[in-house]
Amino acid sequence: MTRLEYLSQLKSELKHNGIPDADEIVSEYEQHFRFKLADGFSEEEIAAKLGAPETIAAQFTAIKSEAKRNGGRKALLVIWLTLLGLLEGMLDLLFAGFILALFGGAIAAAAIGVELIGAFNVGGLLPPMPYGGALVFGVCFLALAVLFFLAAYYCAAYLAQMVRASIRWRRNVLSDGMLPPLPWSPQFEPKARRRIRTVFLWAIMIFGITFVLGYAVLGLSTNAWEFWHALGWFGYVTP
Amino acid sequence: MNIQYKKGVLELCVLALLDQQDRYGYEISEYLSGRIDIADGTVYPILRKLKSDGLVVTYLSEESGGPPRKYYSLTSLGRKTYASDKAEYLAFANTVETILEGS
Repeated sequence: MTRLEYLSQLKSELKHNGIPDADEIVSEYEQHFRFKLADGFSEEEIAAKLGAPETIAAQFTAIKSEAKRNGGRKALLVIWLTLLGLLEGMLDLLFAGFILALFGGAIAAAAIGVELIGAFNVGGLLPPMPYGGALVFGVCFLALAVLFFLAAYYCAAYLAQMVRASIRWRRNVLSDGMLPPLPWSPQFEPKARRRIRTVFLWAIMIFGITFVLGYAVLGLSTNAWEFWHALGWFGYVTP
Repeated sequence: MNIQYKKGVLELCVLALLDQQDRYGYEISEYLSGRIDIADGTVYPILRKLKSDGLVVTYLSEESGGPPRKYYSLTSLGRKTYASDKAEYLAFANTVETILEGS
């Protein structure tokens, strides 16, 4: 068999077996012929030593079907990951809504606190009370705002970390785990963690103390346990 | 020895050659067919399989006089696979030898 006969037969066998880049494969054998010819072998000798074109083509075909089986498994995996991702996305969205609500709570509490301390009462939304009580409750609401904000911040960090870990996990599942998995809970620096804890403890302490103190101030100033009745809140008129 | 039997071992040999340095297809084919009784054309399907498994990558390199040669180079996955397959094969061959000598 001559060089051209061999190559064209190999090409047609590969095409017949449905190998997509037959040309690239054939060019490798073409190069083999070139090297061997330069070494002084005849085309016939080279072709005989290469092995029958059908045999060689069959060896390439065996690889292709193996790759296809792997591809099938991968496609299934992608479908499964997508379904899981949809569920995950919905839960993440729910969590994001919760975080947004916490932020809203923080802003509202801060606004009330500022109004009480500054005695602004924009729009007459706040119930009447002596300024002493308003001052204490203002501080109380500011502390509450800090607590809300901390909760929102921590939850947001948690959500971000979960999304990151999930993406890393997916990448590893699809590419045979080349990267270390990420933790699912947020990782703060020790310094940041200490700072968060300190702010949290101070805020909850101030909140507790000023809440009790505010109650006491308003209760004493109106001389009533249920001071909100005495102050005429919620449309209640003292008889 | 039949070809199916050799095929797995040939893959390991190709990985070993590429572990030493990057080589082009003909170089590997010549090296192996000079030492093991196989058809010259058998090495190219093995190289292609290694590539589709992600164990090797190819690149073209210009040589003085002649068309560019397609070089094969081990990936990090290829290196890892070679190390574990090599250890596995040596242990296996050792066992087989012990059994054969003992009988």
